[in-house]
Amino acid sequence: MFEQLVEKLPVGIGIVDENFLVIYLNDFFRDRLPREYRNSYKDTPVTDIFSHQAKFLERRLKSVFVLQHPSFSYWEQRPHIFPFKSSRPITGEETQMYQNMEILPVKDKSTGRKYACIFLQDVTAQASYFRTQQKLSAALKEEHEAQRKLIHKLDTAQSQLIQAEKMASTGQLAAGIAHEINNPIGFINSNLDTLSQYANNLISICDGVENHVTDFNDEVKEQIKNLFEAQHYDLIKDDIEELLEESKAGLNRVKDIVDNLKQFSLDSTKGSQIVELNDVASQTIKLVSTQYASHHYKVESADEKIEIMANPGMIKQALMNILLNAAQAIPDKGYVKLSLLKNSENITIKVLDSGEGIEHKNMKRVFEPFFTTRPEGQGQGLGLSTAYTIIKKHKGKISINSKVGKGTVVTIELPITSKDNSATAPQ
Amino acid sequence: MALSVLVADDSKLSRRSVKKSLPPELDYDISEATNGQEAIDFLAENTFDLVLLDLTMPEVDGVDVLEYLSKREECFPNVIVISADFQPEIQRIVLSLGAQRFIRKPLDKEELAMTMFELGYL
Amino acid sequence: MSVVIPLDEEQRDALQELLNIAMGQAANSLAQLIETKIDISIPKITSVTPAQLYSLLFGSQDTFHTRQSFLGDIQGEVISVLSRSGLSEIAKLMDYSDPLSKEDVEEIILELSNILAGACLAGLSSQLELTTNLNMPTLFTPNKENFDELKWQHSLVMEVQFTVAVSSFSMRVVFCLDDDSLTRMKDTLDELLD
Repeated sequence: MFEQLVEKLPVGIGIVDENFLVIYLNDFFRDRLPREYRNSYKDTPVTDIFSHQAKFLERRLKSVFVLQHPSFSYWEQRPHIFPFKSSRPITGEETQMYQNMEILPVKDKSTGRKYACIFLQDVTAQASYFRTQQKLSAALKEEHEAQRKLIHKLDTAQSQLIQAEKMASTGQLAAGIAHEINNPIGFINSNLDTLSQYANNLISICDGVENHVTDFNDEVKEQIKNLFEAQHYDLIKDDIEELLEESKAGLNRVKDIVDNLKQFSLDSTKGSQIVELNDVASQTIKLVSTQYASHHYKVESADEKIEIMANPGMIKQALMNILLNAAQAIPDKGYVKLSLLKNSENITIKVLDSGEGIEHKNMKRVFEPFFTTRPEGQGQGLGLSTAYTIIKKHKGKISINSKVGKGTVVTIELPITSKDNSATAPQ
Repeated sequence: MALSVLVADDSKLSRRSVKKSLPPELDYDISEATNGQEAIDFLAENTFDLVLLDLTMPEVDGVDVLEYLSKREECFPNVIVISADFQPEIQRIVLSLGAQRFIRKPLDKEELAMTMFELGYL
Repeated sequence: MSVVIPLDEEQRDALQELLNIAMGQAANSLAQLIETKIDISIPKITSVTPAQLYSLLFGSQDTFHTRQSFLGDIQGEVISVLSRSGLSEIAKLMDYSDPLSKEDVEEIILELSNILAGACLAGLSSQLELTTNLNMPTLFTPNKENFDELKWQHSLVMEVQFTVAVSSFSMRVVFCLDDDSLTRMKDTLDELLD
C-alpha cells in the first residue's frame, strides 16, 4: 500500500545507490523520463539520464553520501535541475518546471547499504506567482519614483511661482517709490549745485575781507579777527566743500538705486533692436576686468554672430550685474568665464566664477530685491533681482547653481525671436 | 607500580570521561592539566608514562605542546592525542610531530583500551 | 516573557565540550568535501539581549547571512554568518567555476550553512541523545527594527567559528534555543554530568 502511495505522490521521489545508479523512480519521475530511458532507467546513472545538470547532481549526491546529511536546492538559485515541462503546458505562462529539491541520506537497515533519496517538488505555480509579484512590485516602485519626481517638479514650480509673484509685487512697489523719490531728488540735486556755488561766493567774500584786513584801523581789525575766530571760519572753509561733496555722492547713490528700481517697471519691448551678444559680452567683460583686474577673464562663444531682439541697455545691465557679482565673489584671485551657446530656439549665456559660492540657505533668496549678504553700505541687493526682472521681461529664464568654496554658475536662456516676429511681439 | 598519566584538556567533562575510560586493569597516578601551558609546566617537571592530550585548548593548544616536546632534548613521552578535530590534515600534523596515536572524540572506551594495548601498556 | 536560565560552571563546560566535538565533526565533513583543512574556534556560550544578538550577527560588514530552524526535542534557530572574502576560493574548491553569478553565490552560502550548521547540530544532539531535525536554510536579510520588536529579553546563544586555512574565508554559526529547549538541555547535561 505504501508503495502505491509513493508511486502516486505529486512529488518526484527517486532513490539512487552509492554509484548514483537509479534504484527506484516514482510515477512523477517516470512520466517525465527521456524516451530512450523509459524502459532502461534502472541501474543507469541518474546523471546519465538527467545529464542537463549532471555536474550539480553529482556534487550534491556526493555530499549526501559523504556527509550523511540532507542537501537542499531552491528554484530561486537553480530553477530547473531536471528538464521537465511545466505542469500546465497549454495554459501556463511558464514553459519549464520550477523545482525545489531535497536529497536525503537513507540506509537499508537489513543490508547496511547507503542510498540517497531525491525529493523533487514542482513549485512552478509558486515561482510564477512570486515572479509576478516581483514584477508588480518593481512596477509599483517605478510608479512611485515617477510620482516622487512629479511632486518635486510641482514643488519647484510652486516656489518659482511664489518667487515670481514676490518679485512682481516688490518690484512694482519699488518702482512706485522710485518714481516718487525721483522728483525730490531732482530739486535736491539742483539746489545742491546752487548751494555749492553760493558757498564758494561766500568764501570768496570772507577771504577778500581777510586779505584786506590790514586796511582797517586797529579796533575794526580786532573786531573782524574776533568775529572770524568766534565763528570758526577756518574750520567752516575746510569742511564745507567736503560736506557738499559727500552729499552729492550720497545723492548719486540714491539716484542709482532709483534708476535700478525703475527697471522693474520698464517695458522691455520698448527700444527693442538687434543685439549682437558677442559684442555685448566682450564690452561688459572689459568694463568689469578693469575694475577687478586681479582675476582672469574669458569669453567663449559658439558662433561668430549671436543676435537677438532685445533692449541693448537692459541686456548690458543684466550681464553687468551678474559679472560684477561674479568678480566680487572671488576673494583673492580667480577666474570668470562667460560662455555663449546657441541652438535653434535658445541662446544660453553662462557666467561661471571660482568664487566663494552661495550658501544653501541663501539660494532661494538670491533673486529677491534688497537681499544681500554684503555688509551694509556695500551692496544694494538689487543686482541679481534686476537681472532677473530684465531676463523675465525678455521672456527668458535665469537660474543659479552654486557650491560653497567652489564657485557659482548663472545660466540665462533667452528665446530667439526672429526679426519679423519682433514687430508683432506682445507689448 | 601505578602508571603515571597526564590528562591535558580544558574541559572538565572531557578530563572526567578520559579518566573513566582508562582500562580498570591497571593502577594510575593521574595528573590533570587544564590548558596547554599547564601541560608544558607538568612535562617540564615530571616524566610521565603516558600523556593523553587534547588539541583545541585556549591560547596554548595541543599542537603547541607537541611542538614543545619535539624541540626539547629529553626523550619524547608516549602521547595519545584525543581530539574533536579529526580532519586528516590535523591527524597527519600531530603524528608527524611525534604523537603515537590519534583518537577522536567523543572518546570510545574500547578504542582507548585497544590503543593502550597496541602501545604495550596492557 | 523570557527569563534566561543561567548555566552553572559545570554545565557550561560540558556544553562547550559537546559543541567542540560537534564542530570537529562538522569541520571534518566540510574538509572531506572540499579537501582542505578547516580551523575551528573554541565555542563561546553567552547570554544576550536582542540588541546584543543583532550586533553579534550583523556587527561586521561584508557578510552573508542564512537561517535555519530546527524542531524536535530541542527547538530553535541557527544563524550562519559567512564572510564575503574568500568565498570565491571556497567556490572553486566546491567545483563552481568563475565568474560566480548571484545565484551561484546564494547556492554556495546556503550549502555551506547547511553542511556546517547541520553537522554541528546533528553532532550536538546525538551526544545529548536528543533528536532534532533541521529545516532547509534560507537567506536572511535582517532588519534592526525587527530585532527591537523581539519578545524575549535574554537568550542563550552558542557561537562557533570555522576558518578555512588556505583562504580568508570564515563562517560563524550561532545557535539560539527557546526557553523550553534550554531547560531540557540543562536537564540532559546534568544527567551526563552525574
